[in-house]
Amino acid sequence: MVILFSLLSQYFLTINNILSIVQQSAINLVIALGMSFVISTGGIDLSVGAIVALTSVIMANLINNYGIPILAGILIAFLVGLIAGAVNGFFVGVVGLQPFIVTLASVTYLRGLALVYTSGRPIYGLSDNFTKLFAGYIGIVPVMVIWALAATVVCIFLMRKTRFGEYTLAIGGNEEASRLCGINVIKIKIYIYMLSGFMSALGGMMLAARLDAAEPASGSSYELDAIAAVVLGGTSMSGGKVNMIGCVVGALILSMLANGLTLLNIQTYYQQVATGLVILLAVILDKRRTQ
Amino acid sequence: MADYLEMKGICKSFVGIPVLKDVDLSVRKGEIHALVGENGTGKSTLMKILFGIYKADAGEIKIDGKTIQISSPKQAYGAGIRMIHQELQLIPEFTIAQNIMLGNEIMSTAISIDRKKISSYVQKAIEQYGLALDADAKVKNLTLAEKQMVEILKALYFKSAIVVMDEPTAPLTDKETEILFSATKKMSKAGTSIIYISHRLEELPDLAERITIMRDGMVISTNNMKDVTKDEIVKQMVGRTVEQFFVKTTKPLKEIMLEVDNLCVGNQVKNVSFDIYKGEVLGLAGLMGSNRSVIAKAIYGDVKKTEGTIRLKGKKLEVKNCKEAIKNGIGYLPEDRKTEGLVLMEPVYKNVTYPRMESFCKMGIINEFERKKSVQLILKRIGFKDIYFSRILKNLSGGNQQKVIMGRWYFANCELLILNEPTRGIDVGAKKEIYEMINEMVSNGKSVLLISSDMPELLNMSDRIITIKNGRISGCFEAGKNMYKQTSILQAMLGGVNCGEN
Repeated sequence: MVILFSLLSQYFLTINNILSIVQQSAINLVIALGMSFVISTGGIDLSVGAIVALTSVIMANLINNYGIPILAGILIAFLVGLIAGAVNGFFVGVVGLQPFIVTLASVTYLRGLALVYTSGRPIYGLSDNFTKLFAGYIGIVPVMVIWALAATVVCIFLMRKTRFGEYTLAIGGNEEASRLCGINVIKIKIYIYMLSGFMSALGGMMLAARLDAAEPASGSSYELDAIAAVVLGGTSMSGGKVNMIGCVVGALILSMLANGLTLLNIQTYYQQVATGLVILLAVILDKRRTQ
Repeated sequence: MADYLEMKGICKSFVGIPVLKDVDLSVRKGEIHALVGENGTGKSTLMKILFGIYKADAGEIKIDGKTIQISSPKQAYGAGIRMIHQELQLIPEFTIAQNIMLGNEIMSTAISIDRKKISSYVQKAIEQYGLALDADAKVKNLTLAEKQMVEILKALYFKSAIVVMDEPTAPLTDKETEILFSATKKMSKAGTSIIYISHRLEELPDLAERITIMRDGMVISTNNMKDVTKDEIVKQMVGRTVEQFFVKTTKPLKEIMLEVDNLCVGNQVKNVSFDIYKGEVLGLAGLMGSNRSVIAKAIYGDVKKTEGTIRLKGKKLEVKNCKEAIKNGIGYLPEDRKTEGLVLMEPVYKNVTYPRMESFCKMGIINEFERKKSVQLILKRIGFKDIYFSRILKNLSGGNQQKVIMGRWYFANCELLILNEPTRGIDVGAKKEIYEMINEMVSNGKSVLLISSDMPELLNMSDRIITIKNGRISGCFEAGKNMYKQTSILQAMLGGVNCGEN
């Protein structure tokens, strides 16, 4: 695909364009990393887009209208993400409901809360320091890329090197056996959804900074992009098997596709068709490979 | 009598490794033919070739004298071949009748199924073969034995010519086994040829007419069942003489390890009291539905006890979950290693270390070097070569999977190990190794609570046996005493209280 696009468009392989591809994938990647943990346990988190919206409007409102220091506003936003995740985790882990249903409910009420909180109006014009922190540049490198990189490193470390990561995969592989091995399945599940909420909050900060605005309607269908990246990367939807590097590649492929097709002047409607087909193709190839 | 099914010169290799070498198997019409061999000797592969799941590299299959090609399970069905798997292929939410007629529904109109007719046909068949089943009962409410009966009924209903039964009695109690045997015999009388795969050699003389023994992908012999003794069979299976049974080698100590006093769990377990001494193996016997596993799970903290006290080495134990039980030195090997025991997609070393990760973790970060060191020690103790270290559990044999769980509890350093059916569905060699491990543990002053449906195993490995019926203790037996024999223990499992000897 890279070769095809670079043959068809001379801009595709320029440094600026590559950085822009990575930048475009950054928000999705950050959310998809959190989603990887959730999917590894056989769960799903549909509420990520709503958390993006809710955290960004809360942060923007607190900073713009209440004069709270920027860092405090950001901290509160992350806290909100963690709480939203913990609530998801509570219903999945403690109450034992299906993740799909729990997060289907929370995507609705969290989005509702964001709309209530702002009366449906976007908040424009954020502080310069804030936008610099999440969407500025260091030299020619966008800060968003650095955030995404940092998130990737941390998440891969969590998955591969810590007890938390190992338990995550164990639960996804066989929940019953994990419990009988003394693993606190409920606690780990709550942590996992909290992690997903935290990553969504980070996504929310990055999105608000990039748009220089916080919109209660933003982040819709982000959950689908994140799931697509995870699946493209070769992570199994039934849990127990994860590919974190694959998730990074998946997110990059998605934004590369959008970028390449745009450079070729192809309408966004066709781009959607192409993206869907690429996802199907990738999953078929993955199934072939693993059989 | 002429052979009905003939498999001749069957060869099969996987990635260059021969699994079946020139195998001949012939089965007469209406015969029950036992097929035995240790795990990994190619029995399943042979049956999968018969069933069209694998294609043989060489050899031919004849049915009723005619050579046939079977290249898919569908064709196998067409040729009247059925397989009753250990993992039953029934839909839990459907009734018995629906399950049996699945794919062959009787229609009342072009689009609607005639449920009444289906149910009455199946009920008729049930009565015809003298089975005690209700055609309209949902499969999920049946016992395991009844579910197997449904599979047999299915084979009978469609007049299957050949039925393969793969270890059907492994999960059954003796009583249920009897029922299964009579159904199997009925099936053979009706003219069906049965290939019966089993690890329970003692049940074969009752059942089978001939026996074929396989080892390392070859057929060693085919004999009339009455012409061979169990010793000879075992000898041929393993290719060397083994002691037929393994016995516990050491005597228990005088100190008490575990005291269970008046344990109750809802209405599943009622007023159960017993002690386990250090160095003792206490056997726990009970039919399906006796809730013997609930007792184990209550001690292990997986099920909440409603009443009673449990003391470990004199200290009162109040465990809320498995983690606390493990911390207190209790381990549990579950009944079904695949669904409750192992994370099959993960490697050996991870599966061994799950219960006690904290021993090589600092702030939640795993020290892989430390882990490797301690796992290698464990692998040595369970008789694994180093190359097993990162093998994925899914690819190990049942016996080796079970050894991984044993290794796990070595690693967790447990004082009291609860074993729930430790040797179910594993081959003779692996069984022996498990018994050796039990002996090693108790000789070091640790204790074992052994739950098993395998009577000889229970009698040979235990110091004492208590029987459970409907969640209550119905008998206790001490090794060496008069009553310590299969018949009296079975009686206690079925009914009457028998604690006279204690």
